[in-house]
Amino acid sequence: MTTEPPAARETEAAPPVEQPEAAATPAAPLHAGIGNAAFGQMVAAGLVPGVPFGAGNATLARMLSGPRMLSREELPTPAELAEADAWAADGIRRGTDLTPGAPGAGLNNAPGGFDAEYDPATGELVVIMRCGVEFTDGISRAGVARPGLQNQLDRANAMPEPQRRARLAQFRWSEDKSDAERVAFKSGVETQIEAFWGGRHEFFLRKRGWSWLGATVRIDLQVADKEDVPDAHLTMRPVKVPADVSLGANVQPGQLENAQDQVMNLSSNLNASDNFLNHRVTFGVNSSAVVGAQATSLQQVIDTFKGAVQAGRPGVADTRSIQTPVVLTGHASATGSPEHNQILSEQRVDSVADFMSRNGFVNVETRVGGTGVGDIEAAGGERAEDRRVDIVVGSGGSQNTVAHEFGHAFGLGDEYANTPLVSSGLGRDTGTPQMGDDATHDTLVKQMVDAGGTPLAGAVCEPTDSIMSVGDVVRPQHYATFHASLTEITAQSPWALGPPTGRNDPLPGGAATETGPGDFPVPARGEGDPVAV
Amino acid sequence: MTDAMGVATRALTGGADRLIVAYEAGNHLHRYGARVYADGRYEQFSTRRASEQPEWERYEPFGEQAIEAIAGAVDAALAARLPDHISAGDPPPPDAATAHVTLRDREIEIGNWPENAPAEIQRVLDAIAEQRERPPTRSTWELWSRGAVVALEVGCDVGNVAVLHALDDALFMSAVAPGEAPAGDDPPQGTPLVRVTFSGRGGDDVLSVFADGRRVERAAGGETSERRLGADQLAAVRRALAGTDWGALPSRLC
Repeated sequence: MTTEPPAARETEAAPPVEQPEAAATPAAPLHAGIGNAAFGQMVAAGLVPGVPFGAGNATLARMLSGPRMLSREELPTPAELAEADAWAADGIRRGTDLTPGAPGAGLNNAPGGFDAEYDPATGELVVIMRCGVEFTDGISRAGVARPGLQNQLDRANAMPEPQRRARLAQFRWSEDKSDAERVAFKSGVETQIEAFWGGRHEFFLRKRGWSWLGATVRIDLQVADKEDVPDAHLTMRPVKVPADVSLGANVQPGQLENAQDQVMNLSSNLNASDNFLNHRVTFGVNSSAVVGAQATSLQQVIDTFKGAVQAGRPGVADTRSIQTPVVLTGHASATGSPEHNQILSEQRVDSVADFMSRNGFVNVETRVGGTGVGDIEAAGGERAEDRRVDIVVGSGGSQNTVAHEFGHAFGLGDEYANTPLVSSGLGRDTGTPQMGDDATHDTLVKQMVDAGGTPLAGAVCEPTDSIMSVGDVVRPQHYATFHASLTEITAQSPWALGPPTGRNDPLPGGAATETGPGDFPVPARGEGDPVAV
Repeated sequence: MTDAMGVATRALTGGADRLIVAYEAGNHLHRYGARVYADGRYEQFSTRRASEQPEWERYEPFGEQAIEAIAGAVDAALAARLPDHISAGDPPPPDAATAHVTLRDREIEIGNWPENAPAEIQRVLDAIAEQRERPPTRSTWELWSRGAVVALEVGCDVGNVAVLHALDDALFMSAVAPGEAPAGDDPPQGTPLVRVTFSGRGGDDVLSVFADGRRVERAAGGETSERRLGADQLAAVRRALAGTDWGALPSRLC
């Protein structure tokens, strides 16, 4: 099969074709008035006159840009459409026991393991992972503590016997399979992970005449007791702990070509999370100087979140770096006049940004922004906590531990790195990536293309707000193994990021479109956006 | 004290302050550790991430015999001439934990902890755990069974008495499987379905569960607390009682 047009057409002087929708749309003035984001929401709701419900990027772009000319080469031919129709009519494509992460390289390589189905009729890729749960007591009935829980056992042993028994019981799963906590764990994993990892990005087949074929991503976790799932892709070993006890988690990835030997060690607390992305610097009275312990603290934030740089080129960002934005919010205590405090809070923001700029943070001008809010949030009096700048890295969100670990189960590697605030001092030989290392899924990410057909830059290890780093954001690169699976089971490529086009639309990213890669609407950066500086 | 890596550093003099064993383990999500000194001091910490400084918490110190047992395990591990560094593997698994173990004056880094822990190190941890074992609390279980109160003596930890497990879970687990209660065979008013008397060093702690769902605890000091069991938990107690012919058991279970 070929996607190239017939040779004769390449040399044909094709007459221009006017796009039929363009001239008549009343939507352009509305769009100009309210901006991309609001306009996109109105389109999604079917509220824009003259724009069909569910119109794609290409259609919208054409309608908004007014009449323009397309060459015939940009439009699908009947033969191409017929070929795509025939392929789609063959129905669902399936793959079992896929290990799409296996081609990865470097530290922490996880092959992943799941089945996948693609249905051209529904435009849905379903990632199916069977999970067998081995419920594991944190402290056994015989009084043996799992690693990391000896202190909990010792504390319980100091209690009177009834309280001790009640406390120790919180470290044990019931032996009854219908026990509420066991049932809640299984359903909780399904609900939480399916919602977190599904539907974040979508693909379309970036071939002329085929680009109406899309693939949204749905996760179907099938979680049951281990003995009921002999062919589980993933064995989960949740260690029972009370909600007030934290415990680490990890994935033992197993053999690269074996889709059924992964083991996830985790705690029973599905809400366990950590926040690495919120920091603060405090100041002296009526001062905006970053000094002493505060300077040390800020330097740690800088060294952790400055972003990966190119080898041998300090200060120049690695092309794969997320370049996570940082938002600074300056505060002042309630003493002094509001006018002075407003100025002081802004000076504190400037001082922190300046410190970051002078001490190694990469691209401060484009990544760091902020504002002072004066004393409006001050508690009153002269309190050190009120004399501060809040530092929010990226989304600022907490990372749910289980969501991160499932990234490994899907075949992704870690993206965090040994830095002062994350895995400090640990080398590669302990399994800890270093700043600027290739993430193991780097090569898979480079095989992905955006809607315009441009390959993604790859994935690099650096602390960011990404889910496979220390945050909570699922980026297109985190769909690399889903993308690889889709490519494998459909034997079609390239599957590009973005929604499908209309059936007769040209491919996005060409002369016919104005929107960039990604999903419509592209949020417009408004005035006062704290990220922009 | 810890350095920036969260690794134990020692500013110790000889003698009683001498460190026998210490370990710190974890990944960027969770760290924990313990240390034992020659004078019996025993400290532990648990923190959510590596960048947080450990807050060492003192626990009941070890006695002389316990210290001897732990020191013996440490010396055995030292005699095994373990390498200074044990790799996490090739490739190391994602989010692998790393441990730094100090045996007297030797430090050993162990990747992919605890899976890669050498048996000699594991025996040191086992020795610490064994020395922390709490002596069993004797208890008396008075159970309403088939129209009469049956009293059973338990001289060991309840966890070691299989026939009591279901009742132990029903009494102490916060969540139980939903289910029906067997048809009523309730004791006279004032007589509990279950009364457990734990004989501790400071006196008796008594737990009683009544047919109306009241769960009453009387501490050794005399304080009493009362709460109501949920329907599922009360049903679980009744099922556990009905599931065994208690009167047919020997009066001393262990």
